[in-house]
Amino acid sequence: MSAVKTLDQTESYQAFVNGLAVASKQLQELTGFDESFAFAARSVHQIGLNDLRTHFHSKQDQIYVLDIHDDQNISGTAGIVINPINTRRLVSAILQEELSAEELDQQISDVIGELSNILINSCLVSLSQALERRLSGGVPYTKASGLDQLEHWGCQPHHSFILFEASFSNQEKLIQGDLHIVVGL
Amino acid sequence: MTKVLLVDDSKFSCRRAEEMLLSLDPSLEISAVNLPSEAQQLVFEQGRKFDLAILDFNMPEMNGLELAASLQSHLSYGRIVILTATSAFATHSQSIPEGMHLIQKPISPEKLKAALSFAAKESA
Repeated sequence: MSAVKTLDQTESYQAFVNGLAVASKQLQELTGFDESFAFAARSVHQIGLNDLRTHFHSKQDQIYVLDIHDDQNISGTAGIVINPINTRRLVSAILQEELSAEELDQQISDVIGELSNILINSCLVSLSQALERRLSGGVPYTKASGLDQLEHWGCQPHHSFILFEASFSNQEKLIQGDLHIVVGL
Repeated sequence: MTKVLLVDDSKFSCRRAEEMLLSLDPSLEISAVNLPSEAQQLVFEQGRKFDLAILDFNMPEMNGLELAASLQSHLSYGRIVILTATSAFATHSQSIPEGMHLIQKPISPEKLKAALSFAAKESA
């Protein structure tokens, strides 16, 4: 039996697509861009811990993360993965100010953190309904390595997860990145 | 002159909210800080008084509702606005206390205008 179970035709997948549509509108409001972000839901998978680690191990770009809470307990993690060139382009376009490279670098974590917060929580509203759980995102933070370090929220080897993945892009601003949401089952 | 306490750990969001509020009402006197402890310092140690508090929900140290509770005796309870990006209110894992106003991020001039109207109504 495959360790990865595809859920692309399920209610979870549709909820994810619906959440991404809301996120796109919210990001347009946040950024003020004429053209909002286009999201493409790539897949929704059920996956075990080891496969999840392997899946994330190669993703070493800067990532912007927040933990997902299920009422009081941490039950997942979510992050956007975006390379440094796209990150600078995005933050510069949002701030619409003449900034030195150093000034821009100082604001990246803050601006992308807020963007991640709005994007991921928009999806969590929709996913909460589909999964019949009360999921909410915590305070955003930045990680310099992959999403494979999952122990901090108490993962056990037998745990399985539902993994939501999408790509996002903005043609006008030449920005692209990936979104990953992992919720423990 | 309406004195506003604005607390948001996102400097970007805080600055944007301050700009929008001043564009709506240039007479507002806004004290903007990025941490709950900085807000408490203004109120408890410096004795500052505010007519309206606009507090982000998800912050380090404590959340916006906990901060509101700690400031409650120094602020009119009806003049607290909670800003949030979290899905917690939409999914009912959190509820907004009666008398507070909730703004779902991203902020916009329209949402802040509604918050100012709410505060004016509560203080009338």
